[in-house]
Amino acid sequence: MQALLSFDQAPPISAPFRFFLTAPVFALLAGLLLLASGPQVLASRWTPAALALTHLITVGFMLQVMLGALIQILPVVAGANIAQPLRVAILVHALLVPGALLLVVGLLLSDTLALRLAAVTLGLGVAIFLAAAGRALWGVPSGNPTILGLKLALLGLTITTGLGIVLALALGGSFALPLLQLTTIHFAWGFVGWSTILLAAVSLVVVPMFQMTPPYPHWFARLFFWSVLVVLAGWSTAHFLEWQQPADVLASGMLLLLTVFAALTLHLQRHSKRARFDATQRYWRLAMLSALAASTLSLISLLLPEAAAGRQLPLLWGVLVLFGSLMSVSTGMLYKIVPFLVWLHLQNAGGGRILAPNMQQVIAKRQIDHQFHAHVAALALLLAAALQPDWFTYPAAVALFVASGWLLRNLLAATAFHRQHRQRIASLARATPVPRPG
Amino acid sequence: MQTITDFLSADHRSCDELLVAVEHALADGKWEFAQAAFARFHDGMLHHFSAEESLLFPLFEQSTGIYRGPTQVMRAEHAQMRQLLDAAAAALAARDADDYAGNAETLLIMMQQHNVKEENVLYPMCDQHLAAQTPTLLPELQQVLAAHGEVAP
Repeated sequence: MQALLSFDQAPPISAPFRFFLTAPVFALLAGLLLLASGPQVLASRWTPAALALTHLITVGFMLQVMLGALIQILPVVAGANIAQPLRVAILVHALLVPGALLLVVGLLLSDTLALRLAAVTLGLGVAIFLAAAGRALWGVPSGNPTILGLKLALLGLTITTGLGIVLALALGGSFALPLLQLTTIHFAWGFVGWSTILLAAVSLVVVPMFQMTPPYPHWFARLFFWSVLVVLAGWSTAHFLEWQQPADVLASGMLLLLTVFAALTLHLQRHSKRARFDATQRYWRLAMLSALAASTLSLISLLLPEAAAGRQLPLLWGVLVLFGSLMSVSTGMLYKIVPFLVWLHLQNAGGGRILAPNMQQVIAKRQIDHQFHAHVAALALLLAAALQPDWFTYPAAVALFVASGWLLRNLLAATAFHRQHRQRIASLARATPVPRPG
Repeated sequence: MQTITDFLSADHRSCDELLVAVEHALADGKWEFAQAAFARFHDGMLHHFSAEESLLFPLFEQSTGIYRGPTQVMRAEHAQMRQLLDAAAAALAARDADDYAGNAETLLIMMQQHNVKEENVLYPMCDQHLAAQTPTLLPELQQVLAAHGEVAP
């Protein structure tokens, strides 16, 4: 209950920003890796470079954005204050960055030592975050579906990371395990148990309130999280034990749940009362359309197992889920969170006497639009590369590099804006003494 | 029986509607209509703040003994929103569409993150601590909010 008794002021701006600024660097590295390794990366999803690429996006980009955003939104959405948020952020970030790099090097070069070190650093980084967030959420009642969703997402992150550590150690030769099954289960927990549950929990608040749509229906808010978790746990068991038929049925159930979420969100966004669509809403729409396309592909692969065994379908699916869906929605959220935080911290620095410039001045709208177009072009080229690696891998790599570089440029512009105006406000504040009351 | 959470959340939504009306008027280039719509929105917001600051927050503070907790943060955020409302009103008066859009967007996010805190945390706490007073409190809140409708129909 103590957590509920006060909303701390927002954590220092550098707590979330360190995550937000390093995330696009990993996406840039993904572009470079694709450029360096060329079309053979896409020979299968199991090539060392494809695995390294996947983790540059998931651990390097997405995990950073998601943890940075959670440090910011847990107090707002759940009244759950993380104790000493800056210290937690510094520590977690300082472990995640080298951890992600070690993991990528380990996967790329099949280097046992790097994989083991990655397991330790990433495991420790995520554990510290989970302990801090778990402590903040402990005792916050789960009556509200968003809060329940956030708690279950943390459980999903725990299982994803746990399985990831086991896999990294097994790849490092520490023990023999059914690697293929465990990898698929690890991916399902990362994608569904952590990312989708987190996204849905956040959507329940963000979509209706910030995009001014009707609320998600009660049945969805009440049933979605537990349904996903139960089906996912059931599927994991069946898949691990190689019970093919129950696993297929449960996988279809999982896909159905994801489809319902994506379709419902698109439906709500179509009824947004906002007069015009901004970049964030366009990113959300792209993400939900990609998720629907990925679900359709999965359905095809369940019906036509021969196609699923081929090279193209899993790669297309990976591009749609990782880049089209999760990276799009994370980028769209960054374009709201980052300018708002810059405004909020400048406004606080001015103490209500010196006004901060409004948030739309933080990153030029034109630059956001350009970056969005680069992102869409990268998605199209990555999909084309999954189908025709020989023709499209290099253009896709360049497009990914450009889109990520542009995102980094836009986020750096926001930090430069913050620094410049903080100095201006500080000097103005010195020049205008606080009026004495009375 | 209606809860404080339901009652005040509904007023949040009606303020949202008023803000959207301004956005639509501006998208159609109807400045005078937008100014009238903004006046209704501004007024609705101020009445909402006033209902909370004069009735709900003091009652919460007295009954829980928590004076420097969530209500203090909520009052500070009201002050920030009042400034954004003034900035948006000035932009509208100057017919500066970009400046209005920037201030309105900032206000929208400020408002919604504030509403999330109230609706998910503070109002449920009020419902819990002020259950006995709710039957008399709701009509009083209603009275302050309704004054809004009389000022700017």
